[in-house]
Amino acid sequence: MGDDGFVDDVAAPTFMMSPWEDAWRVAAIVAINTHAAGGVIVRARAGPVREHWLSGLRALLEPAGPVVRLLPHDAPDAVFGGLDLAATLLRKKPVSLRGLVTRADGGILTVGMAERLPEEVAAGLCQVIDNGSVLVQREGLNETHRAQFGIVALDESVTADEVIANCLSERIPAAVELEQDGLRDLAPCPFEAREVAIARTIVDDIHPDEALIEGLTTLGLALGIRSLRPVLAATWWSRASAALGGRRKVSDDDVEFACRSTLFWRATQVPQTDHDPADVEEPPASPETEQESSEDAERSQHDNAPDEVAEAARAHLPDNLLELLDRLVAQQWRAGASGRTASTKISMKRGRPAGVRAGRPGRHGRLNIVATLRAASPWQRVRANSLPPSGQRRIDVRPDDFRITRYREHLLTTTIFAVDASGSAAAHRLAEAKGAIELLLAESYVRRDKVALLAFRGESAELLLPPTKSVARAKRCLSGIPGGGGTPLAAGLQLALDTADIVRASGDIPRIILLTDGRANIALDGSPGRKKATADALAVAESIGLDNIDAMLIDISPNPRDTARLIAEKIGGLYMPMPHAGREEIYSSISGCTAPRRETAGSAQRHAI
Amino acid sequence: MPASVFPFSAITGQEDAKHALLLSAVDPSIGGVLIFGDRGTGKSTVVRALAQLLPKQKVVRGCPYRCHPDAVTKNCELCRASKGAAITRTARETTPVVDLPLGSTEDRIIGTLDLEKALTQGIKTFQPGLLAQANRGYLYIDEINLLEDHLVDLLLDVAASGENLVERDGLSLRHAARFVLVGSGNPEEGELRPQLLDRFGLAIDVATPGDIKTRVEIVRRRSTYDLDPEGFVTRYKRKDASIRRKILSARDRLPDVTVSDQVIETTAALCLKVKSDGLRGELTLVRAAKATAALNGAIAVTDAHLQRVARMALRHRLRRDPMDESGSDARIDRAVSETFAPVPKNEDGR
Repeated sequence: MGDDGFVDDVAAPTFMMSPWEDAWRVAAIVAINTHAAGGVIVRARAGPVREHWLSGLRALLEPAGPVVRLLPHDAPDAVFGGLDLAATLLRKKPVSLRGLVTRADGGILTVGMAERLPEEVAAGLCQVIDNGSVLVQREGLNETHRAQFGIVALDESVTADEVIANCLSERIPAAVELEQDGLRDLAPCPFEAREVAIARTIVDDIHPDEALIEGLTTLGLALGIRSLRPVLAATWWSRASAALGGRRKVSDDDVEFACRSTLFWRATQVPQTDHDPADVEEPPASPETEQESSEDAERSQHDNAPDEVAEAARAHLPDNLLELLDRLVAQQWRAGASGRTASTKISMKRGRPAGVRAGRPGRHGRLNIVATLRAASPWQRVRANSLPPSGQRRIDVRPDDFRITRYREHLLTTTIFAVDASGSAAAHRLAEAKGAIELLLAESYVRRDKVALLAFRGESAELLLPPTKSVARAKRCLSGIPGGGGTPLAAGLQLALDTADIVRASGDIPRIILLTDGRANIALDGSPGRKKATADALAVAESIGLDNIDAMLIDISPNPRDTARLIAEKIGGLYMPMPHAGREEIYSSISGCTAPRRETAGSAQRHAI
Repeated sequence: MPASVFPFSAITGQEDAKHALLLSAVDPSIGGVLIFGDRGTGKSTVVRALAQLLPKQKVVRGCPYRCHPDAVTKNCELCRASKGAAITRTARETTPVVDLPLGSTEDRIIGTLDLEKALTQGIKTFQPGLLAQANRGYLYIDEINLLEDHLVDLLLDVAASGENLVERDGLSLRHAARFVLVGSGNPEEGELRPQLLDRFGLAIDVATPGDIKTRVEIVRRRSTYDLDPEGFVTRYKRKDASIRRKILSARDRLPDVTVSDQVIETTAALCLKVKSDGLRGELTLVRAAKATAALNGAIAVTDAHLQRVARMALRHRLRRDPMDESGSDARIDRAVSETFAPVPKNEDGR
């Protein structure tokens, strides 16, 4: 199995044991009503395993329902519809081309290598999904076509910076992972097209009851899923699952299935268990922490009136899910939930093609011949009339028709490590944090990323290593970090922010990884006092959040408290409590956002480094 | 556009977005509305719902630019050519809310030579584009931050001048293109350039509601709607109609709403305090407050009206202050509380 080794070192949680059962159920539900189901992200490499699943899905769709394939390099006009160049030139009148989305109507749009889909195409797809139709406003065409389909996004991403566009993955409810299955595990599809057809007729009669809606909404919030789309999807998926089982009422099993296929994979936080000490603390009142307060509300509601379905959904959470979710959080990070910075810039010269626009070739860009011909083609007959013929069978191209290609350049990432070297942190984890960073440095070297290192202790923060590619220097620096003293967290954050600004100014993408226990006791001006120190830290954290810098806070204290979580929230980054983690665990969670996604025999390799 | 649309009055939360759109319906001169926020907050739902709610408008029948019968001579050549005849051929049509999909090309936005006619009959006629369709209505761009820069420039230019100039393929003409530009997007996908932000009248920051009750209500309504769209829409018809009447009466009342010197002074003081760039902020703030007063049935703008719209009129016009780390909303709130004596919440002239 290639999933980063996350699941390697723990016993797989119960529901991961029969992945095929779920995978087939997902396929059957997509087949019930592709448009209402929305679709599924299939994480798997191309190969017989994936083909097996896809052909099973196709069989369930029979007899109706087209399956149309879209690839990342398909031009926008091929995807959404546009002018048919060849036919237009041949017939000398505008001929429109039906887009892939129109052809997929009533069936499935398979997106191969979905992680490489250009942003514009992904956003366009989202509009089509939202409207259920496609509006073509190109090259003189003005058409609307019905386009209701489900998306099967094939995610073959290898590195963390290749993820399915956020807006698109938001609209694809389910996710299945087929990677871990070998050929011998292949199970035949337990469902038949007939069952799916029956489910199709009854699914609309199954109404969601209050308890189901409430339970799923609550769970969504507890998992840190801010958007309501996944919750709505989970409601439909519960109903569809019941329909598939021939039931007129949603059962606990249906809800559980819907949750694991549509909600869990999006989790950005681990729901706190009921025996969590944080529970007893006073409920936070500021709007930024409304998440927790509603969780509290949910808990109390829970205690007062144990809601059957919500219970069913939550029954999973405390035990085996906690472990899994720890990993899902990291996976989520890779899935781009927090990947907010554009890691590319538009260029006229090099990079991946990023769209075509009207303009003069030359300094501003390269001439795109096909697009230019396409722009000129509808006008041929008119132009032939208006000007004396300039020879036969030529295409008359005017300056107005010129189209130029623009490119997108890939930018480098600089990871800024901000390490809490204060007494409180040093006592616990400094050595482990150092070890994890060391492992990551080697990784960064391979990726040609830069790293910077800063530490804060005593009364101030110090930039130990400005952004560099030299791993050797970073290692030397790291081992020299002394521990002890107060925790000037605000100063550390400020320095991280300043460094990030410098990195940005140089054209790279900054990314901050903060290792701290969150127990600030030195304010920005160097004065001691926990209250002011915490307030200062939160203020600086907020400005990091406002600057939209990718960030992650690793809580290295043995008993995570709310302050660290709050700071992570202000930063707008991922919060990762590491109460019992060793360097391997810290490493593996960090590498979730920086390391290549799928490496074989991950652990072994890491030890070799 | 889908066959049925989630009703405006059934939308839970999003008060600011709804208010801003209503203001633009009362007084289009406030300028465009920018709705930025998280995914899954119902940004486009609000805009599409508005389309169903807007009052019908009088137009010259058959005019591609939807001229108002009383203003034909000013506007378009077609209506001018038919002179008085045009005025008799009037119709009541729905206010257009035109969708601009991301892949649109320049020629379809501006308008271009009518291909069919040019090819079959050899006549050069102008085929109006999206800008013409949106005249006297709305132009909606979802994911505006992903639209090509040169198209955004073009749109803002036309929106500001109210006129579309066409110079292409031997065509040369101009036509009215007065529309409210509504853009929505997710800041995570990329920010808009500051100079574009400023061109929008109102900016709304939407977030998913955090409290469980509201969230449950949203999910409940949405899934009820999905099960039976027509029935759901019917249930909210009367509520929608009452909002529509509110817009109409606010439009009537708007010219008579008075703005005292004191209100103008307060506006200036407020803008100075938040260091908003340029006069546009002050102008928008007053207009929006005036429209708010009209919507609330008040005869004069009060401080409460100003406070209601302060955030949405100013938040996108603040210069980033390196000494001040707080967000723009917090800065506006601070300025508001410093400028105004504490006002009881419900004193808005109702």
